[in-house]
Amino acid sequence: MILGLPWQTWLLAIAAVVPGLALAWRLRRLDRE
Amino acid sequence: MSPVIVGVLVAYLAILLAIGLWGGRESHDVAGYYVAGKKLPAWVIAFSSNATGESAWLLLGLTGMGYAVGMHALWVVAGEVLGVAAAWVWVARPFKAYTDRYDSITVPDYLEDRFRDTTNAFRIIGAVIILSMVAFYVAAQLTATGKAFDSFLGTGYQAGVFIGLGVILFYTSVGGFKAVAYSDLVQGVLMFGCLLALPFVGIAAVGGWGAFVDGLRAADPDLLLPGGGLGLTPTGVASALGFVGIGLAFLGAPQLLGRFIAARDQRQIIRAGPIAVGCIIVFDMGAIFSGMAGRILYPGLGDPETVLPEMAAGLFPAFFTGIFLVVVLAAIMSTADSLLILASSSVVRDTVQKIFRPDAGQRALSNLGKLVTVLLGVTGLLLALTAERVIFWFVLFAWSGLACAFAPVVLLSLFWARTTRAGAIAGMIGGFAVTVIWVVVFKEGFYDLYEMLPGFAAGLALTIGVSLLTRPPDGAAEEMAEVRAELERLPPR
Repeated sequence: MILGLPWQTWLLAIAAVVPGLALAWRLRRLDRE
Repeated sequence: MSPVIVGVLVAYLAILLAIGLWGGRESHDVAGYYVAGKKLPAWVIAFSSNATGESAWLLLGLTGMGYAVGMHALWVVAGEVLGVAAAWVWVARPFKAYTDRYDSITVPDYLEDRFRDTTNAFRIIGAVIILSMVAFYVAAQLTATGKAFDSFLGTGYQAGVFIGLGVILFYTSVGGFKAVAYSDLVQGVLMFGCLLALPFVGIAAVGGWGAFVDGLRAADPDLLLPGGGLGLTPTGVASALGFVGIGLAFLGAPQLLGRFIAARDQRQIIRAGPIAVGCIIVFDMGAIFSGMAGRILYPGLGDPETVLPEMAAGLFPAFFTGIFLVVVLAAIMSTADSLLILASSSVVRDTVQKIFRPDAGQRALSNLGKLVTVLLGVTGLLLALTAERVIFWFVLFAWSGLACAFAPVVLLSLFWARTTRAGAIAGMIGGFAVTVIWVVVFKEGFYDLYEMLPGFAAGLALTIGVSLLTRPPDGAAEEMAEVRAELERLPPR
């Protein structure tokens, strides 16, 4: 349990947003080039 | 009926009418009416794309899902965030490059030129699919409009539908795509603000994070698990996959591809992507966590999809309750206006101008576009007034039908030069047909698996399979290489 939630739920929450943010970051970098 | 709530509503509707009049200056030719002259900046295309993709389903349906299944709904976030990010990173740029090269205004315009089609097949198939899906999709949005007016203001269902449709038709027909896109920006920002604030207010009202988690556990311990109460059963896996599958539509539903066509240039797309990703995270997480807080604050609701109006009325003073009514309407209108203009483009640009009256004047065509927009809205109105009213499932069905017809074909056309005209036609018809057949025949027997997954898979498989058996268009490989090279050169900042 982390902050009352099972670790699997945290894993899903992270997996839900991190890949999208990583892809968005690629566009940010491209805009700065 | 609180005068404060009515005041907020009137102010919002007045802003939309003003945007309609402002956009009207550029809606006198076909490109102006349907793609705002391809001049839209990053913020507008980013918010417009998300506000179009997310309808009343986000505010009423997804909050209700958070209420009903808890953390299991995070699978929707996973699918949508990845779908939006992948669309902006991989689809938007080559699609924009191709559509600029062809001077396309609609997705069938693009498909016709990409596959050197001279038979109007893409226009006719596209028009049939778009018109059939949009009619019910818009009707579902109008149903939600009637419900929202009635539950917030007590106007009665029919009066709500008439007021909502009247405003949408005014600014969409007068202002065209420019008004639709800029009103989407206003509507998207309103949705963003409320879905950012509501979960924090809801969790604070429960008593903070610890009380929030304890409350959910007390209501039902399964609400805290990623598998919900279903776990790793076939039904649980099918449910999670279906939730993820909702995001596939962002890769190529025609109402969203229109935003890429209308962007000013490649630089705007690069800037819009991160905005759209941040926005969709707030939209989805906000809706789900609000719904979960609502589960503790308002247990035992007969219809979980009323949790957001309950929270808006119970947790906020009248002014903010008015804002929440506006936000629900914003989500509805930002989707309905885009669908109406998509369907209008399908009739006027793809059918009348390109098939029957290529010599028609620009002003006459844009006026016809406005008339068709109104007629389509009235069709949606008749359906909303007569059909069964609980039709949120139809939003997801139409979302899937539009996406499965277009997204697999568009994706392959952008990345696989070997894609052929026959393959694309088979993929469009097959993707759409499998969506419909799945719902009617197979869905119930296959753990209620969402139709997007078989429909999308069929679209991909048929496009690839038939393409391998037929000859690709002349010069497609060279053209794809040129587009790739073009993407290396960005316009100056």
